[in-house]
Amino acid sequence: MNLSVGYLITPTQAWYGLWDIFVYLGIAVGVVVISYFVYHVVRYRSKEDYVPTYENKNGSHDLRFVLVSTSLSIIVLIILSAGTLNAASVTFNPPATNDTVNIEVIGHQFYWQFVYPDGRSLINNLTIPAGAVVILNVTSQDVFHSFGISQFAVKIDAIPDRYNTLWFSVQQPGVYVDAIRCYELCGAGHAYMIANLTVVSQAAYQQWISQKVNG
Amino acid sequence: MQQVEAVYQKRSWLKRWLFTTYHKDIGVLYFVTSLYFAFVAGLLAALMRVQLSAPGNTFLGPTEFNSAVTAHGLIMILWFLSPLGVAFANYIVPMQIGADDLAFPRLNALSYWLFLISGMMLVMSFFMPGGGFGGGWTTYAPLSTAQYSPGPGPSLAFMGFILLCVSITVGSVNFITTILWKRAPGMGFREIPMFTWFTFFTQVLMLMAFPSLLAALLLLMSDRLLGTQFFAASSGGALLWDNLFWFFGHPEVYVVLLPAFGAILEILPTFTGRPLAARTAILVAAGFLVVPLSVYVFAHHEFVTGIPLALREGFTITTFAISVPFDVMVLSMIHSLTGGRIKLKTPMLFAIAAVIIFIIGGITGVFLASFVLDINLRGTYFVVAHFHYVMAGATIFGLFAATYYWLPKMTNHMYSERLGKLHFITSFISFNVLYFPMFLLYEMPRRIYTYQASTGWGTLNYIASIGGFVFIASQVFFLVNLLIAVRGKIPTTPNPWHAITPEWVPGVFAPAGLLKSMPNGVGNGNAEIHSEGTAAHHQHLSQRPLALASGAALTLTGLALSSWNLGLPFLGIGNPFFFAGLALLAWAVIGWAHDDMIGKFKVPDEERGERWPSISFPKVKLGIWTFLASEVLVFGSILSSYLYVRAYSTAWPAPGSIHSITIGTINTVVLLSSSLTALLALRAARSGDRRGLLAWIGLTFALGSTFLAVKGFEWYDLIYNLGFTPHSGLPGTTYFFIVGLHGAHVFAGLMVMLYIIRKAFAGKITKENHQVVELFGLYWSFVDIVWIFIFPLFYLM
Repeated sequence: MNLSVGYLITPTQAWYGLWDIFVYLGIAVGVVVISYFVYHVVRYRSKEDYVPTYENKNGSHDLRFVLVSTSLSIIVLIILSAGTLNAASVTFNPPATNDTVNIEVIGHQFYWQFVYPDGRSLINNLTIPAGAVVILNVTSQDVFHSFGISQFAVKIDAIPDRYNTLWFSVQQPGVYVDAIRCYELCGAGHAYMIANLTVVSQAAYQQWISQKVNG
Repeated sequence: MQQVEAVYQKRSWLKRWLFTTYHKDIGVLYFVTSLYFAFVAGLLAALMRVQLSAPGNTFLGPTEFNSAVTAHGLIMILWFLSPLGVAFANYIVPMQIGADDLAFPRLNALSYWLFLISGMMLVMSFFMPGGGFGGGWTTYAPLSTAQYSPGPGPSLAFMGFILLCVSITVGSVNFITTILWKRAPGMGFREIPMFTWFTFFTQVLMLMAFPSLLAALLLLMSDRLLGTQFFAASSGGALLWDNLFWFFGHPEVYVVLLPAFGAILEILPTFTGRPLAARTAILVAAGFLVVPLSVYVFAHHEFVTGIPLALREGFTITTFAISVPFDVMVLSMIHSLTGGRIKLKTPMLFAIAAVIIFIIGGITGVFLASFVLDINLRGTYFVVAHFHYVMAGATIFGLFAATYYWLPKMTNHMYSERLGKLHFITSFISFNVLYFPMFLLYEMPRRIYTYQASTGWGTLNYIASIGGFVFIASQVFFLVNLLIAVRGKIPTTPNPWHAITPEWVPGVFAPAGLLKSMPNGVGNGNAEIHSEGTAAHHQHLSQRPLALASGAALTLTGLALSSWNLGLPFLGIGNPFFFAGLALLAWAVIGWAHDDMIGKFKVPDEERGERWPSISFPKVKLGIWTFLASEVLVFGSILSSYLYVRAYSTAWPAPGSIHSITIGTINTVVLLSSSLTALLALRAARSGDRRGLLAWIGLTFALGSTFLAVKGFEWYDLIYNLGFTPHSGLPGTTYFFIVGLHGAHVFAGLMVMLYIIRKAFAGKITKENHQVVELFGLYWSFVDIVWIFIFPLFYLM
């Protein structure tokens, strides 16, 4: 079994890494800004009903505050952009390796069809070898669908007359029940456009492939 | 002035509300109608929350759920949130700028009636045989085409959608002209109050965004009724729809949000007793960054459609960038509290809550802006939670704040403060209980009508549903409070908040010198608001706007129903609707023109006022220019769709795709000469030469008619001799639709010429008063220019 594939991280890992950065920074920014806001409301609260004069005692200090705090937010955005572009280099470039499987995915109202290079096709069950680079070429037979495996953080739209590509890789063999779903409203059966992901060992996959061709 | 209002209010109740053209009445109508639509869409939301509260629920079936999800989204965004902002714009903006009314009161009434009736068409589409449309508010093609969503229900819904686009175009022309042109003397750009500024930004955005949607819908209806194939799967229509829709769809988010921000920016200084922090920075951020940038972020809705990596990177950066002006606005809002003395009345509480909700929605929006993170979040409840925080939460709470803030102005009475606070606390808590769990459901697809227990999504959905029902129930406090204010139980003063924007000045309009005394940050110019002028205006009642809107609605309903039986109009059950509608439409248009001819609603244009940068423009001309700008965008969207389809498809070149150059050239010459004769007509009108005017405009009319006649001959030949029809693949589709749309514009021009000829015969066009000829000339030149773009695309290439 060949596990020495030529890549270090998968789109799944890239996504969760980026997600962590966004979640931590997002919560930090949210907590700081909202607390600061609420603190202001409490601190400057007045219980009497007075007639305001609308004088500004702060003057140019106002603008300085807004510009400085906006600059801080720009720094956060730059960090997030860098993280995004970095993750993108993993997500969109499948590593060159011999251990690659190409599968065509066709969305139908309302099921998924998986066509293998030898022409065999499976309905609502995507079977892939563990550890291999799996490249999916996704299209649709009828309307706009969206093919997603949320657990492995990959998704691409299935659009009629068009092929979109994604890649991913799973190490752990097993049957991932209902892992594949449609993420774009495609009609009455949208909620049931679900498929299983079956990850088998390399050996079992090779055997399955050869069996079918022989038989 | 108050006397005038008293006289006005003595008219019969029904007549007043059906035929009113007065901005305050129309504001009230918008307010009540949008609350009605909120009720409808809220009911649908309640049904959906019942269905989703437990896994495997069978309360709604998939078809019902999909229809509910679609109508809920459409109605909430386009028939509730946006029009509620327009309600305040109608009521408050003229008072804030010291104008007696909008620039075009009858068009304002027309906007309202189109808005109401279009919404009714959408609601009625539910009850058509085969049900309503269930493809989501995004109306993605090809699911929205006749092949996958057949029947009169979806057609009727889309026709309503089209009428709403017309309503919004008419409205934005009106508001833009009003704000540019009808400001009181001394109210320069620096003195315009924040709510009026934000209304202006909103209307400019509408003018930029809606033409693309209108174009998309016209193409879609042409597909559904005439059998053209713009959005058929084989022509790459799915992505074409995506582009057209999101070019509208993303700016629409800001269209919904900005009026609420405008209200918040009035409320914060009033209840802290200090001016806004960095007011100019807010205006620059909103006007110079958000408005232009908003159309450069649309493709972030298409990150997983397989667009090139460079585009994804680019649109990620622009989407990150658009958060910067919002940072400026929010941070200014927060800092506006510093050193103030905050009165926590109901409007202020809602305004603060709106900002907090917006912060959460904004931060999660940055998640979605990252095209890598978006991969797994797209199409899930994370998105649902995000846009409900931004669009529903920030906007509704902001507009609740606006309602409580201006209610004393609108009813002359106070609401119950205790009930208001109760409404606030229940709404704020239940809103977060409703939507925050959805962030955690980031693996659950949107718009699925049910899910399996094994997914583990049940608990969070159950919590969300509980939040939803409490949120809906807490709106009873709001309605009761509205009734308390309307029934006038609690007295108040004319300016209960001690606010300093002009609308709070006792009486209808602000007295002279008001703005002079405004302290820094709210308006520090030397504007004076006059109460003279066109008092008679308020007594104007007109039945034409209602008739015009009803006629248009009936006509389109007839067309929508015709698709029920056969693929062609003029056949089937739609007939009576169609012809009754046309008759009503004709009656309304002719009547409208007649009212103008006899000068029924003629009011002298105010001589004083701040009009920079439109100083030399008469009012109507400014309106026409604004309208033509939206027309340019409609044709721009359609022609770029054509180029897109053509580049994508292998259908070109095909036999019959390039048309007879002889006929094309003849028509080009005919149309261009008609531009020249129109110019000569204008010259004659300017020099007071009535005969010359009649001769040249008559010749223009003849040339325009020749153009259409040649077109008719050409079409007859194509269809019956050459067999080239709208069904002849993409070349046929695009040719008949685009050339036909242009022909319809020529026809409209002919109608205007008939009006001019009639008016000239009556001697009503004089040396001093020939504006209509000039405006017609503008329109006619536009029609010619469009032809110059069309001609090479169909006859040469």
